[in-house]
Amino acid sequence: MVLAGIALPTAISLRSYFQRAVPDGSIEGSALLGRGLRGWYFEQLAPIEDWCVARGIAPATLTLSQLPGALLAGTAYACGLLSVGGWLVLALGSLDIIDGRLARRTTGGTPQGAFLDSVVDRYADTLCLSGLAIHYRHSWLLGVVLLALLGSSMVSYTRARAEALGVECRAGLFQRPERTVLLGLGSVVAVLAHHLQQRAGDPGHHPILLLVLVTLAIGTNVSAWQRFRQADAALSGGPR
Amino acid sequence: MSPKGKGARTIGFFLTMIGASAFLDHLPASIAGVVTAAGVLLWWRGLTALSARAA
Repeated sequence: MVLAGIALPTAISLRSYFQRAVPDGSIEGSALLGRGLRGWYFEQLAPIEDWCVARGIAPATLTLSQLPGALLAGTAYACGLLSVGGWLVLALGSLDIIDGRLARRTTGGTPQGAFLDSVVDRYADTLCLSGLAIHYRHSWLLGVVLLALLGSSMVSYTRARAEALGVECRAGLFQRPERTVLLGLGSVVAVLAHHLQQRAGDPGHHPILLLVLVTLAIGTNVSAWQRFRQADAALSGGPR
Repeated sequence: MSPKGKGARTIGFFLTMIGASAFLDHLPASIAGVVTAAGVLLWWRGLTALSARAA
């Protein structure tokens, strides 16, 4: 019944994806999250942006509200509530989209807001993955989670450092939206698959989440390396 | 489509999913039930607002 309760709203909500309008040219896509998908999701979130604008909610308030949300998601993961943690991660990702778009609509996006957003994003990433690290503290998966945490931080750090040196650095598949969707959706699907296999009492690992974490651990570090190579080439005056 | 209905639908969807997931994660039924019920109400309100606007 719970599975049906999840499947029905999801199917009805996804129906609008197939009726979506062509996204406008301002929306950037990536290999993993295309323009069509992003455009559709931004359209779903636009009314919440309008609501925030109408009530004069500052983008910084939304940005800062991600901190308690991330703490909650991390706590859920640490307590083994993987599905709840996954949905909270997805909700936090949505909040991150809304605050950025709200900032561009209201203030045009200030350097101060961008700085706050970057700092809060790092805290949010760390809190969520730390929860998973606590959950897997007695397993070899702890090493995989820590690698994913390191990779996530390095993807952001290499770009920030390169941009501070005046180099544009956007290489890599595993940017923050991709990581958020992969971790959130991976957690949710892992628990659903686990229940579908009727192994609810099995204390073993969720194979899908294991796959997601390994993908994150490898993908984020490869992305960080690609960014390093891109920045290194630009700083040395050309590709090597 | 009514923007208000869409907003309620999106927030309701997330609340419903978090509540339903709480059942799957074996959280107390009272907590999971309250969150799911609030989500379904909001989601349904959003859907009916959209249907009313479409009609």
